[in-house]
Amino acid sequence: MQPSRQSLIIPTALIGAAVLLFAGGFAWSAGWVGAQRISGGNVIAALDDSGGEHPGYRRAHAKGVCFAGVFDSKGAGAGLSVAQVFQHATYPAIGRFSIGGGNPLAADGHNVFHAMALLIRTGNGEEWRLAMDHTPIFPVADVASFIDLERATKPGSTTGKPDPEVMTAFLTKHPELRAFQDYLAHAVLTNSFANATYYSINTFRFTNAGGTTRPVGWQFVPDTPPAGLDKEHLAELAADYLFKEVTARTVDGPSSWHLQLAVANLGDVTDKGTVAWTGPHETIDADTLVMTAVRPEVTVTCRDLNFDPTILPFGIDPSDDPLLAARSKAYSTSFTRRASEGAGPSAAGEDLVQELARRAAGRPTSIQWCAPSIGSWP
Amino acid sequence: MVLGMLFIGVGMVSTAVPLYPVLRALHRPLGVLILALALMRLPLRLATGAPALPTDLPRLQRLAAKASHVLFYASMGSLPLIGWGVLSSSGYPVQLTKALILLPIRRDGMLRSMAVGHRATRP
Repeated sequence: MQPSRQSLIIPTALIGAAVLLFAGGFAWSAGWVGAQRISGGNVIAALDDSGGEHPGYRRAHAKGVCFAGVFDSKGAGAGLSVAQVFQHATYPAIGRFSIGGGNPLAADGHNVFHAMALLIRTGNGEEWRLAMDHTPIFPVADVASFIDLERATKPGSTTGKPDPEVMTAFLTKHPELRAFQDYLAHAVLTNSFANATYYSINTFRFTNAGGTTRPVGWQFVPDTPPAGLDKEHLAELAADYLFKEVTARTVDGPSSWHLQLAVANLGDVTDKGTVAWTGPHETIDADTLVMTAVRPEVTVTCRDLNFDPTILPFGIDPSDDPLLAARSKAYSTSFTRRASEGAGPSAAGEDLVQELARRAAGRPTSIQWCAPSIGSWP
Repeated sequence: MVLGMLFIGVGMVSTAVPLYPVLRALHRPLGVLILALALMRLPLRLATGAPALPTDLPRLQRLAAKASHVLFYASMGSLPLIGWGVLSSSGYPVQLTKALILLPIRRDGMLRSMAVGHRATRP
Protein backbone atom coordinates (compact mmCIF):
# COMPACT_ATOMS: atom_id res chain seq x y z
CA MET A 1 0.00 0.00 0.00
CA GLN A 2 1.34 3.44 -0.90
CA PRO A 3 1.63 5.80 2.10
CA SER A 4 -0.83 8.66 1.95
CA ARG A 5 0.37 12.09 0.94
CA GLN A 6 -0.57 13.38 4.41
CA SER A 7 1.61 10.92 6.30
CA LEU A 8 4.69 12.00 4.31
CA ILE A 9 4.49 15.65 5.40
CA ILE A 10 5.91 15.21 8.89
CA PRO A 11 8.92 13.02 7.96
CA THR A 12 9.74 15.29 5.01
CA ALA A 13 9.56 18.37 7.23
CA LEU A 14 11.82 16.73 9.83
CA ILE A 15 14.40 15.71 7.24
CA GLY A 16 14.26 19.16 5.68
CA ALA A 17 14.71 20.84 9.07
CA ALA A 18 17.71 18.65 9.86
CA VAL A 19 19.34 19.46 6.52
CA LEU A 20 18.63 23.19 6.94
CA LEU A 21 19.98 23.19 10.50
CA PHE A 22 23.14 21.43 9.39
CA ALA A 23 23.70 23.66 6.36
CA GLY A 24 22.92 26.77 8.41
CA GLY A 25 25.32 25.73 11.16
CA PHE A 26 28.01 25.04 8.59
CA ALA A 27 27.50 28.41 6.89
CA TRP A 28 27.67 30.14 10.26
CA SER A 29 30.86 28.28 11.22
CA ALA A 30 32.42 29.32 7.95
CA GLY A 31 31.41 32.94 8.51
CA TRP A 32 29.20 33.07 5.40
CA VAL A 33 26.25 34.23 7.49
CA GLY A 34 26.08 36.24 10.70
CA ALA A 35 28.38 38.96 11.97
CA GLN A 36 31.20 40.09 9.67
CA ARG A 37 34.48 38.39 10.56
CA ILE A 38 38.04 39.42 9.96
CA SER A 39 40.00 36.68 8.24
CA GLY A 40 43.68 36.42 7.40
CA GLY A 41 42.71 37.41 3.85
CA ASN A 42 41.26 40.72 5.11
CA VAL A 43 44.57 41.58 6.81
CA ILE A 44 46.53 40.70 3.68
CA ALA A 45 44.14 42.75 1.52
CA ALA A 46 44.68 45.77 3.78
CA LEU A 47 48.48 45.34 3.62
CA ASP A 48 48.41 44.91 -0.17
CA ASP A 49 46.20 47.95 -0.54
CA SER A 50 48.47 50.10 1.60
CA GLY A 51 51.89 48.87 0.51
CA GLY A 52 51.17 47.76 -3.06
CA GLU A 53 50.91 44.21 -4.37
CA HIS A 54 54.16 42.25 -4.42
CA PRO A 55 53.25 38.62 -5.20
CA GLY A 56 55.68 36.03 -3.90
CA TYR A 57 56.89 38.11 -0.95
CA ARG A 58 55.98 38.45 2.69
CA ARG A 59 53.12 40.91 3.01
CA ALA A 60 54.92 42.74 5.77
CA HIS A 61 58.67 42.99 6.36
CA ALA A 62 59.13 41.97 2.71
CA LYS A 63 62.76 43.07 2.43
CA GLY A 64 65.03 40.87 4.48
CA VAL A 65 68.16 38.84 4.83
CA CYS A 66 68.84 35.47 6.50
CA PHE A 67 71.29 34.80 9.27
CA ALA A 68 72.55 31.77 11.17
CA GLY A 69 74.00 31.41 14.59
CA VAL A 70 73.78 29.66 17.89
CA PHE A 71 71.66 30.09 20.97
CA ASP A 72 73.91 29.55 23.93
CA SER A 73 71.90 28.87 27.07
CA LYS A 74 73.40 29.30 30.50
CA GLY A 75 70.47 27.53 32.14
CA ALA A 76 69.29 30.62 34.04
CA GLY A 77 65.93 30.67 32.25
CA ALA A 78 65.01 27.24 33.64
CA GLY A 79 63.67 28.90 36.77
CA LEU A 80 60.96 30.48 34.64
CA SER A 81 60.24 27.80 32.04
CA VAL A 82 60.77 24.08 31.54
CA ALA A 83 61.36 24.70 27.82
CA GLN A 84 64.41 22.74 26.72
CA VAL A 85 65.82 25.86 25.13
CA PHE A 86 66.59 27.14 28.64
CA GLN A 87 68.54 24.04 29.62
CA HIS A 88 72.28 24.60 29.75
CA ALA A 89 73.41 23.79 26.17
CA THR A 90 73.99 25.34 22.76
CA TYR A 91 71.21 25.19 20.17
CA PRO A 92 71.32 26.03 16.45
CA ALA A 93 69.37 29.09 15.37
CA ILE A 94 68.46 30.70 12.08
CA GLY A 95 66.82 34.05 11.65
CA ARG A 96 65.96 36.93 9.43
CA PHE A 97 66.51 40.67 9.65
CA SER A 98 64.00 42.88 7.90
CA ILE A 99 62.90 46.46 7.55
CA GLY A 100 59.22 47.46 7.66
CA GLY A 101 56.70 47.59 4.85
CA GLY A 102 55.49 45.28 2.13
CA ASN A 103 57.78 46.45 -0.69
CA PRO A 104 60.67 44.01 -1.16
CA LEU A 105 62.56 46.56 -3.25
CA ALA A 106 62.13 49.57 -0.96
CA ALA A 107 65.22 51.63 -0.17
CA ASP A 108 66.33 51.11 3.43
CA GLY A 109 66.02 54.82 4.21
CA HIS A 110 62.41 54.86 3.03
CA ASN A 111 61.15 52.77 5.90
CA VAL A 112 63.86 52.34 8.52
CA PHE A 113 62.80 49.69 10.92
CA HIS A 114 64.67 46.81 12.50
CA ALA A 115 62.98 43.46 12.93
CA MET A 116 64.51 40.14 13.89
CA ALA A 117 62.83 36.79 13.33
CA LEU A 118 64.36 33.76 14.93
CA LEU A 119 63.89 30.00 14.97
CA ILE A 120 65.60 27.86 17.59
CA ARG A 121 65.45 24.08 17.43
CA THR A 122 66.09 21.81 20.36
CA GLY A 123 66.82 18.10 20.05
CA ASN A 124 63.32 16.99 21.04
CA GLY A 125 61.51 18.09 17.90
CA GLU A 126 60.34 21.35 19.41
CA GLU A 127 60.81 24.78 17.91
CA TRP A 128 60.68 28.27 19.30
CA ARG A 129 59.82 30.82 16.65
CA LEU A 130 60.12 34.48 17.48
CA ALA A 131 59.16 37.55 15.48
CA MET A 132 60.47 40.68 17.14
CA ASP A 133 60.72 44.40 16.43
CA HIS A 134 63.00 47.15 17.70
CA THR A 135 59.91 48.63 19.32
CA PRO A 136 58.71 47.21 22.66
CA ILE A 137 55.10 48.00 21.78
CA PHE A 138 52.79 47.55 18.79
CA PRO A 139 50.92 50.49 17.23
CA VAL A 140 47.45 49.01 17.80
CA ALA A 141 45.93 46.41 20.11
CA ASP A 142 43.82 44.20 17.84
CA VAL A 143 43.29 43.02 14.30
CA ALA A 144 40.39 45.33 13.42
CA SER A 145 42.42 48.38 14.48
CA PHE A 146 45.38 47.09 12.49
CA ILE A 147 43.31 46.98 9.30
CA ASP A 148 42.05 50.51 10.04
CA LEU A 149 45.65 51.65 10.60
CA GLU A 150 46.77 50.22 7.27
CA ARG A 151 43.92 52.07 5.55
CA ALA A 152 44.74 55.31 7.39
CA THR A 153 48.45 55.17 6.54
CA LYS A 154 47.95 54.32 2.87
CA PRO A 155 50.16 56.70 0.87
CA GLY A 156 48.23 59.11 -1.34
CA SER A 157 48.63 58.53 -5.08
CA THR A 158 49.94 62.06 -5.70
CA THR A 159 51.65 62.97 -2.41
CA GLY A 160 53.14 59.56 -1.57
CA LYS A 161 52.23 60.33 2.04
CA PRO A 162 49.23 59.37 4.18
CA ASP A 163 46.34 61.80 4.18
CA PRO A 164 46.85 63.93 7.36
CA GLU A 165 43.10 64.32 7.86
CA VAL A 166 42.53 60.56 7.79
CA MET A 167 45.47 60.12 10.19
CA THR A 168 44.06 62.71 12.61
CA ALA A 169 40.70 60.96 12.57
CA PHE A 170 42.42 57.63 13.23
CA LEU A 171 44.37 59.09 16.17
CA THR A 172 41.19 60.45 17.71
CA LYS A 173 39.66 56.99 17.53
CA HIS A 174 42.88 55.19 18.51
CA PRO A 175 44.81 57.33 21.02
CA GLU A 176 46.85 54.20 21.90
CA LEU A 177 48.84 54.81 18.71
CA ARG A 178 50.48 57.85 20.34
CA ALA A 179 52.67 55.70 22.61
CA PHE A 180 54.13 53.96 19.54
CA GLN A 181 54.64 57.26 17.70
CA ASP A 182 56.34 58.77 20.76
CA TYR A 183 58.63 55.79 21.04
CA LEU A 184 59.67 56.07 17.40
CA ALA A 185 60.23 59.80 17.79
CA HIS A 186 62.42 59.53 20.89
CA ALA A 187 64.21 56.19 20.72
CA VAL A 188 67.61 55.86 19.09
CA LEU A 189 67.23 54.51 15.55
CA THR A 190 70.31 52.33 15.35
CA ASN A 191 72.60 52.34 12.33
CA SER A 192 72.80 48.55 12.15
CA PHE A 193 70.68 45.45 12.62
CA ALA A 194 73.50 44.23 14.87
CA ASN A 195 73.25 46.93 17.54
CA ALA A 196 69.47 47.12 17.88
CA THR A 197 67.43 45.73 20.78
CA TYR A 198 64.63 43.39 19.76
CA TYR A 199 61.48 43.01 21.83
CA SER A 200 58.90 40.23 22.18
CA ILE A 201 56.14 42.87 21.57
CA ASN A 202 53.52 40.63 23.21
CA THR A 203 53.52 38.90 26.59
CA PHE A 204 53.88 35.13 26.89
CA ARG A 205 53.30 32.68 29.73
CA PHE A 206 56.28 30.79 31.10
CA THR A 207 55.73 27.67 33.22
CA ASN A 208 58.52 26.23 35.34
CA ALA A 209 59.14 22.75 36.75
CA GLY A 210 57.25 23.67 39.92
CA GLY A 211 54.14 24.33 37.84
CA THR A 212 54.24 28.09 38.40
CA THR A 213 53.09 30.10 35.39
CA ARG A 214 54.17 33.72 35.07
CA PRO A 215 53.66 36.37 32.38
CA VAL A 216 56.99 37.14 30.72
CA GLY A 217 58.20 39.57 28.08
CA TRP A 218 61.70 39.60 26.67
CA GLN A 219 64.31 41.57 24.83
CA PHE A 220 67.47 40.69 22.97
CA VAL A 221 70.00 43.29 24.10
CA PRO A 222 72.97 43.75 21.75
CA ASP A 223 76.55 43.43 22.96
CA THR A 224 77.48 45.87 20.18
CA PRO A 225 77.04 49.42 21.50
CA PRO A 226 74.13 51.21 19.82
CA ALA A 227 74.84 54.12 17.51
CA GLY A 228 72.02 56.13 16.01
CA LEU A 229 71.14 57.20 12.50
CA ASP A 230 70.38 60.82 11.76
CA LYS A 231 66.58 60.69 11.59
CA GLU A 232 66.46 63.94 9.61
CA HIS A 233 68.45 62.49 6.71
CA LEU A 234 67.17 58.93 6.41
CA ALA A 235 66.22 59.43 2.76
CA GLU A 236 69.90 59.86 1.93
CA LEU A 237 70.80 56.35 3.08
CA ALA A 238 72.02 54.00 0.34
CA ALA A 239 69.24 51.71 -0.95
CA ASP A 240 70.57 48.57 0.79
CA TYR A 241 72.54 50.32 3.51
CA LEU A 242 71.37 48.24 6.48
CA PHE A 243 71.60 44.92 4.64
CA LYS A 244 75.08 45.55 3.23
CA GLU A 245 76.27 46.81 6.59
CA VAL A 246 75.20 43.69 8.50
CA THR A 247 76.58 41.42 5.75
CA ALA A 248 79.99 43.12 5.82
CA ARG A 249 80.06 43.29 9.62
CA THR A 250 79.37 39.57 9.96
CA VAL A 251 82.14 38.61 7.53
CA ASP A 252 84.47 40.48 9.91
CA GLY A 253 83.13 38.67 12.98
CA PRO A 254 80.05 37.54 14.86
CA SER A 255 77.59 39.77 16.70
CA SER A 256 75.79 38.75 19.85
CA TRP A 257 72.77 39.58 21.99
CA HIS A 258 71.74 38.68 25.53
CA LEU A 259 68.21 37.41 25.98
CA GLN A 260 66.72 39.20 28.98
CA LEU A 261 63.52 37.62 30.30
CA ALA A 262 61.41 40.08 32.29
CA VAL A 263 58.64 38.87 34.61
CA ALA A 264 55.53 41.06 34.68
CA ASN A 265 54.81 42.97 37.87
CA LEU A 266 51.33 42.95 39.34
CA GLY A 267 49.48 45.67 37.49
CA ASP A 268 51.42 45.36 34.25
CA VAL A 269 49.19 45.14 31.19
CA THR A 270 49.84 41.72 29.67
CA ASP A 271 47.04 41.45 27.12
CA LYS A 272 47.71 44.60 25.10
CA GLY A 273 50.72 45.01 22.86
CA THR A 274 50.22 48.78 22.93
CA VAL A 275 51.09 49.33 26.60
CA ALA A 276 54.72 49.27 27.74
CA TRP A 277 55.72 47.99 31.17
CA THR A 278 57.31 50.65 33.30
CA GLY A 279 59.62 50.60 36.31
CA PRO A 280 62.01 47.87 37.47
CA HIS A 281 61.28 44.23 36.71
CA GLU A 282 62.67 40.91 37.85
CA THR A 283 64.93 40.16 34.88
CA ILE A 284 66.88 37.03 34.05
CA ASP A 285 69.81 36.96 31.66
CA ALA A 286 68.98 33.59 30.10
CA ASP A 287 70.90 33.04 26.88
CA THR A 288 73.32 34.52 24.40
CA LEU A 289 72.46 34.61 20.71
CA VAL A 290 75.58 34.62 18.55
CA MET A 291 75.06 35.49 14.89
CA THR A 292 77.84 33.98 12.83
CA ALA A 293 76.73 34.30 9.21
CA VAL A 294 74.49 36.38 6.97
CA ARG A 295 73.19 35.21 3.60
CA PRO A 296 70.76 36.63 1.03
CA GLU A 297 67.28 35.14 1.29
CA VAL A 298 67.31 33.49 -2.10
CA THR A 299 70.15 31.13 -1.16
CA VAL A 300 68.93 29.77 2.17
CA THR A 301 66.07 28.46 4.27
CA CYS A 302 64.74 31.46 6.15
CA ARG A 303 62.76 32.73 3.16
CA ASP A 304 60.58 29.61 3.24
CA LEU A 305 59.74 29.77 6.90
CA ASN A 306 56.82 31.36 8.66
CA PHE A 307 58.10 32.96 11.87
CA ASP A 308 54.78 32.48 13.63
CA PRO A 309 55.22 33.73 17.21
CA THR A 310 52.69 31.18 18.49
CA ILE A 311 54.94 28.23 17.57
CA LEU A 312 56.33 27.70 21.03
CA PRO A 313 58.09 24.94 22.95
CA PHE A 314 56.55 23.11 25.89
CA GLY A 315 56.88 25.52 28.83
CA ILE A 316 55.98 28.69 26.90
CA ASP A 317 52.40 29.59 25.97
CA PRO A 318 50.77 32.61 24.36
CA SER A 319 49.15 35.19 26.66
CA ASP A 320 45.59 36.50 26.33
CA ASP A 321 46.81 39.22 24.00
CA PRO A 322 44.48 38.98 20.97
CA LEU A 323 47.26 40.33 18.77
CA LEU A 324 49.07 36.98 18.96
CA ALA A 325 46.21 35.11 17.27
CA ALA A 326 45.96 37.87 14.67
CA ARG A 327 49.70 37.77 13.95
CA SER A 328 49.61 33.98 13.69
CA LYS A 329 46.69 34.04 11.27
CA ALA A 330 48.01 36.89 9.12
CA TYR A 331 51.49 35.36 8.89
CA SER A 332 49.94 32.02 7.94
CA THR A 333 47.82 33.56 5.19
CA SER A 334 50.82 35.52 3.88
CA PHE A 335 52.86 32.30 3.90
CA THR A 336 50.20 30.31 2.03
CA ARG A 337 49.75 33.07 -0.54
CA ARG A 338 53.43 33.45 -1.32
CA ALA A 339 53.89 29.67 -1.40
CA SER A 340 51.27 29.44 -4.16
CA GLU A 341 52.59 32.53 -5.96
CA GLY A 342 56.17 31.24 -6.06
CA ALA A 343 58.99 33.17 -4.44
CA GLY A 344 60.50 36.12 -6.26
CA PRO A 345 64.22 36.88 -6.30
CA SER A 346 65.64 37.91 -2.98
CA ALA A 347 65.02 41.62 -2.50
CA ALA A 348 68.45 42.59 -1.25
CA GLY A 349 69.87 39.64 -3.16
CA GLU A 350 72.30 40.03 -6.05
CA ASP A 351 74.14 42.94 -4.49
CA LEU A 352 74.63 41.05 -1.27
CA VAL A 353 76.00 37.98 -3.05
CA GLN A 354 78.59 40.21 -4.73
CA GLU A 355 79.37 42.06 -1.53
CA LEU A 356 79.84 38.77 0.30
CA ALA A 357 82.16 37.39 -2.42
CA ARG A 358 84.17 40.62 -2.47
CA ARG A 359 84.52 40.60 1.30
CA ALA A 360 85.34 36.92 1.57
CA ALA A 361 87.98 37.07 -1.21
CA GLY A 362 90.26 39.29 0.83
CA ARG A 363 89.98 37.34 4.04
CA PRO A 364 92.21 34.71 5.60
CA THR A 365 90.80 31.20 5.64
CA SER A 366 90.54 31.18 9.43
CA ILE A 367 87.13 32.80 9.08
CA GLN A 368 84.94 29.87 8.27
CA TRP A 369 81.41 29.70 7.12
CA CYS A 370 80.17 28.20 10.35
CA ALA A 371 76.42 28.08 10.04
CA PRO A 372 74.75 25.23 11.85
CA SER A 373 72.99 22.77 9.62
CA ILE A 374 69.31 23.57 9.70
CA GLY A 375 67.14 22.54 6.83
CA SER A 376 68.72 23.32 3.50
CA TRP A 377 71.05 26.02 4.84
CA PRO A 378 74.23 25.30 2.83
CA MET B 1 34.28 13.50 14.92
CA VAL B 2 34.32 13.85 11.15
CA LEU B 3 31.35 16.22 11.26
CA GLY B 4 33.07 18.21 14.01
CA MET B 5 36.16 18.52 11.84
CA LEU B 6 34.13 20.02 8.99
CA PHE B 7 32.89 22.78 11.28
CA ILE B 8 36.26 23.33 12.96
CA GLY B 9 37.98 23.47 9.58
CA VAL B 10 35.81 26.17 8.00
CA GLY B 11 35.69 28.11 11.28
CA MET B 12 39.47 28.05 11.59
CA VAL B 13 39.91 29.48 8.11
CA SER B 14 37.36 32.24 8.61
CA THR B 15 38.81 34.20 11.50
CA ALA B 16 41.86 35.91 12.97
CA VAL B 17 40.52 36.29 16.53
CA PRO B 18 41.78 34.24 19.53
CA LEU B 19 39.37 31.42 18.60
CA TYR B 20 41.68 30.67 15.65
CA PRO B 21 44.55 29.10 17.64
CA VAL B 22 42.00 27.20 19.75
CA LEU B 23 40.40 25.65 16.65
CA ARG B 24 43.81 24.96 15.15
CA ALA B 25 44.85 23.17 18.34
CA LEU B 26 41.73 20.96 18.04
CA HIS B 27 42.11 20.39 14.30
CA ARG B 28 45.46 18.59 14.37
CA PRO B 29 44.94 15.94 17.07
CA LEU B 30 41.39 15.28 15.79
CA GLY B 31 42.70 14.76 12.26
CA VAL B 32 45.29 12.23 13.37
CA LEU B 33 42.73 10.50 15.57
CA ILE B 34 40.38 10.17 12.59
CA LEU B 35 43.25 8.73 10.54
CA ALA B 36 44.09 6.20 13.25
CA LEU B 37 40.44 5.16 13.71
CA ALA B 38 39.91 4.91 9.95
CA LEU B 39 42.96 2.67 9.64
CA MET B 40 41.56 0.43 12.37
CA ARG B 41 38.09 0.43 10.87
CA LEU B 42 39.08 -0.35 7.28
CA PRO B 43 40.29 -3.96 7.80
CA LEU B 44 37.25 -4.64 10.00
CA ARG B 45 34.96 -3.35 7.28
CA LEU B 46 36.71 -5.45 4.64
CA ALA B 47 36.57 -8.56 6.84
CA THR B 48 33.01 -8.26 8.07
CA GLY B 49 31.34 -6.59 5.08
CA ALA B 50 28.32 -4.33 5.16
CA PRO B 51 24.59 -5.16 5.35
CA ALA B 52 23.10 -5.82 1.90
CA LEU B 53 21.27 -2.96 0.20
CA PRO B 54 17.51 -3.41 -0.34
CA THR B 55 16.99 -5.55 -3.45
CA ASP B 56 14.45 -3.13 -4.99
CA LEU B 57 16.96 -0.24 -5.00
CA PRO B 58 17.46 1.22 -8.51
CA ARG B 59 20.87 0.58 -10.12
CA LEU B 60 21.90 4.21 -10.02
CA GLN B 61 21.16 4.60 -6.32
CA ARG B 62 23.00 1.37 -5.60
CA LEU B 63 26.04 2.75 -7.43
CA ALA B 64 25.81 6.07 -5.58
CA ALA B 65 25.66 4.27 -2.22
CA LYS B 66 28.74 2.22 -3.02
CA ALA B 67 30.71 5.17 -4.44
CA SER B 68 29.99 7.47 -1.51
CA HIS B 69 31.06 4.67 0.83
CA VAL B 70 34.42 4.31 -0.93
CA LEU B 71 34.86 8.08 -1.14
CA PHE B 72 34.19 8.41 2.58
CA TYR B 73 36.91 5.92 3.49
CA ALA B 74 39.32 7.48 1.01
CA SER B 75 38.72 10.95 2.52
CA MET B 76 39.18 9.75 6.08
CA GLY B 77 42.54 8.34 5.11
CA SER B 78 43.80 10.97 2.69
CA LEU B 79 42.71 14.28 4.25
CA PRO B 80 44.67 13.85 7.51
CA LEU B 81 47.69 12.71 5.47
CA ILE B 82 47.42 15.78 3.24
CA GLY B 83 47.31 18.04 6.30
CA TRP B 84 50.30 16.28 7.82
CA GLY B 85 52.15 16.56 4.51
CA VAL B 86 51.39 20.27 4.08
CA LEU B 87 52.67 21.05 7.57
CA SER B 88 55.79 18.97 6.93
CA SER B 89 56.66 20.52 3.60
CA SER B 90 56.01 24.04 4.92
CA GLY B 91 58.61 23.49 7.62
CA TYR B 92 56.14 23.66 10.51
CA PRO B 93 56.56 21.37 13.49
CA VAL B 94 53.69 18.84 13.30
CA GLN B 95 52.52 19.69 16.77
CA LEU B 96 49.52 17.61 17.88
CA THR B 97 49.56 18.84 21.45
CA LYS B 98 52.06 20.93 23.38
CA ALA B 99 53.75 17.68 24.42
CA LEU B 100 53.41 15.59 21.27
CA ILE B 101 55.13 16.39 17.98
CA LEU B 102 54.95 14.03 15.00
CA LEU B 103 57.77 13.34 12.58
CA PRO B 104 57.49 15.31 9.36
CA ILE B 105 56.39 13.19 6.38
CA ARG B 106 58.94 14.66 4.02
CA ARG B 107 62.31 14.67 5.68
CA ASP B 108 64.21 17.75 4.75
CA GLY B 109 67.67 18.34 6.11
CA MET B 110 69.31 16.93 9.17
CA LEU B 111 67.45 18.57 11.99
CA ARG B 112 64.01 17.95 10.54
CA SER B 113 64.53 14.22 10.90
CA MET B 114 64.26 14.22 14.63
CA ALA B 115 62.47 11.53 16.57
CA VAL B 116 58.99 12.06 17.90
CA GLY B 117 59.38 14.49 20.74
CA HIS B 118 57.33 13.51 23.70
CA ARG B 119 56.91 14.48 27.30
CA ALA B 120 54.65 12.53 29.58
CA THR B 121 52.93 15.17 31.64
CA ARG B 122 52.65 18.84 31.92
CA PRO B 123 54.03 20.26 35.16
